[in-house]
Amino acid sequence: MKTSRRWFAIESSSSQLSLALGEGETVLREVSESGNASRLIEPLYRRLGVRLEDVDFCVIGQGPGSYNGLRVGYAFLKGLLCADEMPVCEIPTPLALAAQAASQLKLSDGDFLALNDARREEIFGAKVELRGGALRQAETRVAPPSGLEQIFGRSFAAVISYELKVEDFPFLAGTPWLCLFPTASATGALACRQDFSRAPALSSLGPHYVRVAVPGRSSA
Amino acid sequence: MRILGIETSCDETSAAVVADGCVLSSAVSSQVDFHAVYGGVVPEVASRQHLKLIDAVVRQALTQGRVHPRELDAVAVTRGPGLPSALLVGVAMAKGLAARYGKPLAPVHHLEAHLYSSPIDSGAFVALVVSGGHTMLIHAPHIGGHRVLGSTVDDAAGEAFDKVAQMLGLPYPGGPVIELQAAQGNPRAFDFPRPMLHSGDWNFSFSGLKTAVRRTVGLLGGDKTARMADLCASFQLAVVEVLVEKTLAAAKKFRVRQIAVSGGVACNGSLRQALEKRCQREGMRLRFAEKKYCTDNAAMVALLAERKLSQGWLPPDDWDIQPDWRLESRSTEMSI
Ligand SMILES: Nc1ncnc2c1ncn2[C@@H]1O[C@H](COP(=O)(O)OP(=O)(O)OP(=O)(O)O)[C@@H](O)[C@H]1O
Ligand SMILES: [Mg+2]
Repeated sequence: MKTSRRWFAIESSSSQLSLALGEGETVLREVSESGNASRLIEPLYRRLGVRLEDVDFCVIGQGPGSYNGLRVGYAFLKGLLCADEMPVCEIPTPLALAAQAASQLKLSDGDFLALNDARREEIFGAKVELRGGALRQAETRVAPPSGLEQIFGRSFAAVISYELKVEDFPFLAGTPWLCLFPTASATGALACRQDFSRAPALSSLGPHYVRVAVPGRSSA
Repeated sequence: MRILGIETSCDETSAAVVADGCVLSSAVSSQVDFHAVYGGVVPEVASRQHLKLIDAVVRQALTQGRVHPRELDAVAVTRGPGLPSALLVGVAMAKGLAARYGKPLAPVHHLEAHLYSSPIDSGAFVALVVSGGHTMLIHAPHIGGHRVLGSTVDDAAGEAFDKVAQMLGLPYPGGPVIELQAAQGNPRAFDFPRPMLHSGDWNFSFSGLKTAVRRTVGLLGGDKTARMADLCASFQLAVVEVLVEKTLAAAKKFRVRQIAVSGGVACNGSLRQALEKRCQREGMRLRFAEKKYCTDNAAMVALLAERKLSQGWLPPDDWDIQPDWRLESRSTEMSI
């Protein structure tokens, strides 16, 4: 896939909704606003001023994060593309966060830990490895705060969380702690590096839910 | 006018295309099987299913209706009332589609859509909207101008069917299975209460009836299974009698000659027969929604939007889902 292809990206997994338009790894425009995604998404889309006829593929941040935010992002995209066969690429949100952190810290190597509140006194953690500028999601897990050190270790270039505080994770004291909201521009730029020429159908895509819909059941 | 409707307020994912009052296509994907194992609708399950299915359902409606989104005059979607995380999916889908093709987007009240889903003649009418979440009596001096007379103070009639089915060990949704069982039973076998039949207002209550059934089931113990058909028939008759009597009383009080009935419970054959009999005797016209448009469907959403848009309604610009949207009384007149 050529890197100069034009993309449109949505990141709706946090309380800061963002939409971006780019070409290859260049971001042409980005709009973002914090608040209720369901209300904001259409005005933001209009403000971005995208013509989907000129776009080669779409990108969506997969989460984990706010279930309702993710649903709004996915459903809006499904509405935009309901009569199209445009390829869609899903990017795990921890990857986008790590890309943002690496760029902010000007790093090309290192490990990042992205943390989200998974509710019920548990945390969602994702370890992302950066090697020679390439990112890879190494490990993801839902666990109580006390179990994180054993799962992920304690040596990171940075910890990223837009909703949790360092004080609640004593084993991470001393590690740089970044408060970053995932952006559509990072999400879109990451998609350019991926080969998704055989992209799955839009209807088979869906958010990363950190739990099954009904506790104690593995279905749905 | 060609309108695409989308409905995701509860556990049916639905889309439909209508044109000039006719339904060109109606796609409904029911999630009943997913919820049956839990004995009722689980909001998180419903929402995930809606998101999975919504694009396929919308595409199906567009294909079967032989229309490209470009050719639509508007997109209509249920804004509320309903489950928040379920409403979100339909509304975001509709917003995306409307934004892409530059179409007006019409937010529709789910109960108003149920209310107008029967083929009502012009003139005054009394409506009974009787569904899984609502039981309402409405008086309308003319189409489009309606006033809510009363509603349930606790469980909706459909909810009572579902809960009684659950206590009898019958599957979800309870309405259709209770109706089947009741056909084999004696409706006079148990004398269940007719709650609020003579309350002097237009409200309903079904939780006391549910409790009476539970008490009887407890007393029957192991004989419950043998008396299943009688229990179902007696319970169904109690619900039907209350619905029929109060609806007829409202029609008489407001001197209207037309009664409209809609919502999932309006599928019930026993309710239909009882109303037909009484309306015939009283010389009233009875309008039922077609059975396939009694339970949740997007055709009713698109049809209502079409009616309102063709009357010059300008949909609001900046709006969001409204899970607890009450059916307001309206005075605007709509003709068909
Ligand atoms: N044959 C029947 N007899 C009685 N009740 C029935 C029958 N068929 C369906 N129902 C009931 O109808 C209800 C579903 O109707 P509907 O889809 O209109 O409700 P809902 O959309 O869940 O609620 P609401 O419209 O109030 O938000 C269920 O409670 C179901 O048990
Ligand atoms: Mg309904």
